[in-house]
Amino acid sequence: MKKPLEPQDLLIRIMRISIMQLLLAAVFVSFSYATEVAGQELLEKRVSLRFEDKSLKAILARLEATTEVSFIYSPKATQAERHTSVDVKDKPLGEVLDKLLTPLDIQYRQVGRQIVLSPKITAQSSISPNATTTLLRAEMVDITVTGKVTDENNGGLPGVSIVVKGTQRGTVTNEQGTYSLSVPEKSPNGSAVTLIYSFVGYLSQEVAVGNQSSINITLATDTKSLEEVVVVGYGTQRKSDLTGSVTSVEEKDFTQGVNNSALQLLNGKASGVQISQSSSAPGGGIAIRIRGAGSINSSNEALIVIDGLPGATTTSISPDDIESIQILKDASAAAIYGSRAANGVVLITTKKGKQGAPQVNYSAYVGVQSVAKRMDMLNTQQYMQVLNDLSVEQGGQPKFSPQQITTIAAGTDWQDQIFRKALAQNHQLSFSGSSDKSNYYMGINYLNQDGVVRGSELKKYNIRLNYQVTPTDKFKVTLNLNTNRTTNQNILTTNSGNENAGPINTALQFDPTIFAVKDESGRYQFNPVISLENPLALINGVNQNYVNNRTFGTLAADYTILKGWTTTLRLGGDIANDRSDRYISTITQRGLASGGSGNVDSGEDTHWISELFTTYNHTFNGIHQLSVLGGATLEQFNSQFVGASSIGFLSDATLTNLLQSGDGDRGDNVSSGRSTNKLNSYLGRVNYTLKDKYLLTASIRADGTSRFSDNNKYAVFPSFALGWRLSEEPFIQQSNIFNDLKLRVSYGQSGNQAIGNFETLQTFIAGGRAVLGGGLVQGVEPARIPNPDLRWETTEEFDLGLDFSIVQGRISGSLEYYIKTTRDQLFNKPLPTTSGFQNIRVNFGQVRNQGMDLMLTTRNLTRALKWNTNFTFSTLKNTVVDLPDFISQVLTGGVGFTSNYSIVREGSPMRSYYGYQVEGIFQSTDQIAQSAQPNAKPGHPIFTDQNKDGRIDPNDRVILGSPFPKLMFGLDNSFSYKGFDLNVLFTAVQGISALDNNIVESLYPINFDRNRIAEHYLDRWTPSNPGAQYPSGLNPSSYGGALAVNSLTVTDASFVRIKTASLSYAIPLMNKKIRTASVYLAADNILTITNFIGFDPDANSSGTGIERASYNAYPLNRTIRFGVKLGF
Amino acid sequence: MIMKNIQKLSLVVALMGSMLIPTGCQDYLTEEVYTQYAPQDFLQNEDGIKKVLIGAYSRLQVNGGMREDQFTLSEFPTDMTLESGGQFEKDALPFINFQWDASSGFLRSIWIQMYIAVRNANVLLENIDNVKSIPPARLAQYKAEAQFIRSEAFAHLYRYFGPVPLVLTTSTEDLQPTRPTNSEFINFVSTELAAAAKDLPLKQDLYGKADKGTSLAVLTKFYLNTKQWQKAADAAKEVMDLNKYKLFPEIENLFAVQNELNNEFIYVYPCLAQGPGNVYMPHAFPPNYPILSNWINYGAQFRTYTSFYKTFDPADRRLRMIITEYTDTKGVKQKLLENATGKPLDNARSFKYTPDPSAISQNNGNDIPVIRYADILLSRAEALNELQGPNQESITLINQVRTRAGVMPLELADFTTKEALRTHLLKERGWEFFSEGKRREDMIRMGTFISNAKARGKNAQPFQVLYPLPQAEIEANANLKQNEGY
Repeated sequence: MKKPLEPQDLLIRIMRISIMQLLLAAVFVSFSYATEVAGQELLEKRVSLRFEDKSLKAILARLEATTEVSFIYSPKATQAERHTSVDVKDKPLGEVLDKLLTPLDIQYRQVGRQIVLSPKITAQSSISPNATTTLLRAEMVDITVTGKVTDENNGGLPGVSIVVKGTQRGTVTNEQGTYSLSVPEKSPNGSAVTLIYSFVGYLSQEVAVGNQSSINITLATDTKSLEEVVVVGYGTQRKSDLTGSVTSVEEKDFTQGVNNSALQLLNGKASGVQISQSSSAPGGGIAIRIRGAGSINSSNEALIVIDGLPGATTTSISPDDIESIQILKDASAAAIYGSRAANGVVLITTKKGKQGAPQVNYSAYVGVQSVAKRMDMLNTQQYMQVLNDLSVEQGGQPKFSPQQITTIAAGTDWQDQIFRKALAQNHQLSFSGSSDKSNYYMGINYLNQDGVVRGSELKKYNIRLNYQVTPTDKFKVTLNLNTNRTTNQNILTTNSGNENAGPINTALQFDPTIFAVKDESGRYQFNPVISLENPLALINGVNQNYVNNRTFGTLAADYTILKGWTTTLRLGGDIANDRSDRYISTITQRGLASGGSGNVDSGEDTHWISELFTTYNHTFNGIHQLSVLGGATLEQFNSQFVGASSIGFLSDATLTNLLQSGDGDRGDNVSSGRSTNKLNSYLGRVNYTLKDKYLLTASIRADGTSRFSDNNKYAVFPSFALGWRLSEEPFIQQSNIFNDLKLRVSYGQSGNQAIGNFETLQTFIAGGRAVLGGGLVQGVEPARIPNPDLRWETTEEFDLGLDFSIVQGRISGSLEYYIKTTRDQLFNKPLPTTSGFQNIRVNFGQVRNQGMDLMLTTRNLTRALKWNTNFTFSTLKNTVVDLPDFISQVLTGGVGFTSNYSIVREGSPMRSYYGYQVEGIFQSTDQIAQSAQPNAKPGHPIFTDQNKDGRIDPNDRVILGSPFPKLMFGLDNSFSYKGFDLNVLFTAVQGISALDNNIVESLYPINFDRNRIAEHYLDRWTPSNPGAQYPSGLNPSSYGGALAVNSLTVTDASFVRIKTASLSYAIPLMNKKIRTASVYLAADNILTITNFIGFDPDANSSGTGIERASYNAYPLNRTIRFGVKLGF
Repeated sequence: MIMKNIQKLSLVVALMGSMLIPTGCQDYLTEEVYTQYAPQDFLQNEDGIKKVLIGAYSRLQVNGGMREDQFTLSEFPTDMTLESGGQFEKDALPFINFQWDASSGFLRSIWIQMYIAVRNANVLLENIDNVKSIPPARLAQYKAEAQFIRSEAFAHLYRYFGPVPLVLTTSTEDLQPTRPTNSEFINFVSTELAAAAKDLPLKQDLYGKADKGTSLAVLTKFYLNTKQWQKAADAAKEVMDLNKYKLFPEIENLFAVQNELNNEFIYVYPCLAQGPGNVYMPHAFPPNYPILSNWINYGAQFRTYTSFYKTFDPADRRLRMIITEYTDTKGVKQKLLENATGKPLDNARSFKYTPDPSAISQNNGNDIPVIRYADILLSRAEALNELQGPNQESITLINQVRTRAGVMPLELADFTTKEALRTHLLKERGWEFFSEGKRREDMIRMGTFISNAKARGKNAQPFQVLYPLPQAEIEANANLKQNEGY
């Protein structure tokens, strides 16, 4: 039987071919639209304002607080203390400003979201309304305007762009700063002709031409734009001065969705950064990979720093409290974090109180989630038919009689039984404000997400307080405090099979002829030969709860010793208490066997940090800018846990709340543990800028850790970076192409100390429990052969980057190339086990990641209809360069009953999938006789005999795919028109593979009665279906076992996903009490286009590890959210 | 003004300095250990020595790993037992079909487990003399126990691999030992076992520890398997002369939990229902077999060849431990021996380990006998036959076992040649010890392991009487020579 091609499949097939083209087309289309000039939508914002006899300053402050504009003005020049009155209702801002400022002889112009006020200058003053009228009536003739543009020092400014507003007509100034431009006497729409003078680093100016034929102007330095600062390790830096690879994502650009982890906010927003959700369960794991993975055997997780606190978690925080996230991608940017920075650093900065009137913001959404994709298993009728066919073809009797098949009707779809539509809701309330001496921000968050699998739920409560007080000009105290409580109810998720499998595994494979009702004795029914628990018994009979209380924060005191010299003392703490409970009740077979089994684990983790650092900034002779940082830190991590378990309970009713009611004789078990590790570090950094053109950054960090022996207590991580702002050079300015152009090159080292405690010490451990005298007796054993020479894994990275901005900043972005090499890999060197030890930790081996990161922002339409595009693109090549001579290759990986499916070997990506290539299906016995599989049967897969030795053995295994994406894309388009905002985000990965163990268990069922994936058996080989895609399914173990890791089970996991789309509408303000109001409708995980059969190509059953395998993944949620945002 | 700034400056410098003080020395970064023990403290007293000894015992006990050790490696390549179904099938098939290779995880895990036992015993032997407080008698006993553990671990590996490196130190200077010659190996192990037997008490404080009988029984079997017939016969006699052991009257109930403290078991791997347990029964229950709610029935099925079943005397009480039919949970009567046309199904089930009523899931509490008294009797009978040919003492010894099984005693006159009695002994041992992991060594000793496999249609090669050394071991140790043929 061949499955008919359904319309959806057709669509998918078409999309598969064209998705790349689509992506590229979208980007290029956006360029072609990118020609129009800036609009004045800000000035059309409607405001209501009523003041009597108030200072201009106060009125402007109120406007700032209510409209999100900011005013830039010199209080002196504009005489801002002057009192005036204004009374407008629901009028455009522009009109209000005219009304307010004209009587005061103040003119204004808009620069980005800022409005610059200045006293009217008669020579260049706007033409009076009467003159405009006159002009309107005049004939359309071109006049020539000449003039000179100068900077504040009266020097001619070359390369200044001059454009006739509303047209594409324009020119640039020559080397002397002079220009000549022919302009129409009036503009096409009849309004006054205005010239826009713009130049990077300077405030643009608009000048109405009127009847002038010569216009000389002076451009003022745009200090704001030059000084857009980003947070870097231990400080901030002007964006223009950055020399390392730092990607900054602001709140407005965060990826929306039912987000539990701050990392989800970055999905698709930063090139070279792969965010994947290893489990879609509420509270499931999120993995971040910055520029691939460098460590073979240690962690590849990035270091998270929240408001200066390293080692923080991204889940115990409200995403709504976050102002911006910076990703330090290259080693030169990350090196200041030394031995924990090898996998990149994510800096999270939370919100602060803003200047102006106190603000109250409330935002909330309610979402309905459903399973985005189910596994298409055989339905009951198909199941019975397929099993009958297989039975007969294997020489047996049909398993089901025709009568049974008709009476059973629909049977049970077990996925229906465990999946549900689930609600998610999120509420965030924040208060912020500021006064002369202090500012505050307080955020309160509640997230409640029910899972789409019954019995799973996440609840999160979060309170944040950020408070900053400056008692004197020189002294500042900052407190950032976050407290969080998370409760998480989980389904049983496990990589074990058979009786120990979780409900998702069993729901896929359970017998569909069994009804989802309890039998006479009140028990869920099961098929005794299937070796699987009833899925509903697992949902209802396994109770797993996790509670985490976590409080963390920093308290910092800054003291300015001299102008430009500040010292900071920062104390940080992170206290986490958690408890997890698991009870397996007698509803389940397993629980019944043990009389119920319960265990409780509880632990406390603390982290303390004390940092003292000092910074000095000074500009010498106006051209040498120097910034120096030096500091020292002490850190301590403590961890303690206690666990208890019992079995044979008096009753299931008490769950884990009465462990002492268990059978004390047989099953009581207790455990506890404690460990600490400490760090002591010294750090320093120098930034030097010459003439705002030539940039140098050098940093160094020396880290010492308790985990290493005295031989290698400290390690030093240096970095160097150079930047050249080419756009400051006359020869680039003349070319008039670039508004901004910077070339940067950097080199740095960082480390990975992610090894366990005690690895350099010889100790004895509790190990080996003997059964003696009828009970268990604990023995003691030596723990290891210590290696006192153990040291850090070191990552060296070279990065070449180009930042650019063209067409008046309408197109901007950065392009980077990097090579990252991680050496001194921590390896378990296998020992001859005659020593009683299996291995010893050593440093050896090298892995290289190289690739290209591109980020592109285009403002395609900027008038009433606005369209912005953000495009991220990155390539990645991961290669194992060098392995120890004692390990030619490492076979690894284990999921379910499938093991050793991935390989680490020189020249290939780390943990590549390794197995047999299937090249077809045997059709005839003749074909078999001539093959390398003489015992095969027609319908069995043909494995490629790679070495042509006439037999299929482990030497015929080849690399079947890589766990790293070759390419990653993110494409974010946002449109806005009159209060409506539409945002659509696509994400995609390409060139990544995954082993799907559910496919393994479908092609090679563990026992005959298990259900299988429909596609595999509706298009299986039979003599009458010789063109089938899948093998016959007869005696599958004869072509399974170790052969099961093959190109049928390792499949392409590339995908393109419409990650999220949202449409929001800003409600026009009805009254003054509400400052802003908007509503939105959003959908997440709308569509995933992939060849992958499983629930989610992005899922990873090995959690956040590198070797990806899909197995019983918690299904991806498709969510429709309705939200509101209110500001008071 | 300047003065004020200098004051501030010095304040900062002082503050910075105070940060650095704790790091001036490396005390701050000294690693603190809370959950492990410093060797220099731990091994200084008798209690520490006792804990290390327990650690050594724990590795010698192959309870959790019985299906790999006692079945996959020791019965699946023989004429008794096969396996099908479950995920275990793919691991079992190479051993059923004589297609194993050096990469087998089962070979490696038993190798590692035994060498960890050796290491732990060596830790004790190297440190015990530093502890002056132990009275001489106990000192000798601890040493003897460690010697027993070490040499029994070697003997265990010898059955699979032939002579393996004799590692007698915990020094890590030379981690690449070589294999001794066969005679060096045999000499060392037998000397050690004999020495241990001398210092071991007749009865131990805790059931499961090695006593005099245990060491002598292991020695008997080691002599027997290395065909030192006279020594084997003598050692067996020594065990018998301890007057400690006798046959349990009802063979069919011998393996039940309630009878495990008996006088027949000499050396056991003890098991507990909460684990480590005897996991045999979940593999023996046939499909839909009515089991207690606290039991479990695995997909992996351990089956008995019909041909083996048919060699039994129908009156043999030992046959009662094999089931050939049952009524399943749906009320259907299932036959396991043959189908309606008389075709053998090879699907009878050995229920030797009477299911433990209080088993917890797969873990049954039935202790696993490694050597029991019946084996000592039959070992002496075999050794005497090899020395003298058929003789009355051998017949008498065999008849003790037969009588207990309720079958007719043998007559000396029935056996005219050594070979004839040897052939019978192999049968008798099969009837007596099925499901006890002895078949492979018995068939190898009696020379039928390969020929019988060939008769069953397997492509067995003579070199397969030894397993290959684990591949990872060969790769890690350049001095280690692989067994021939692999």
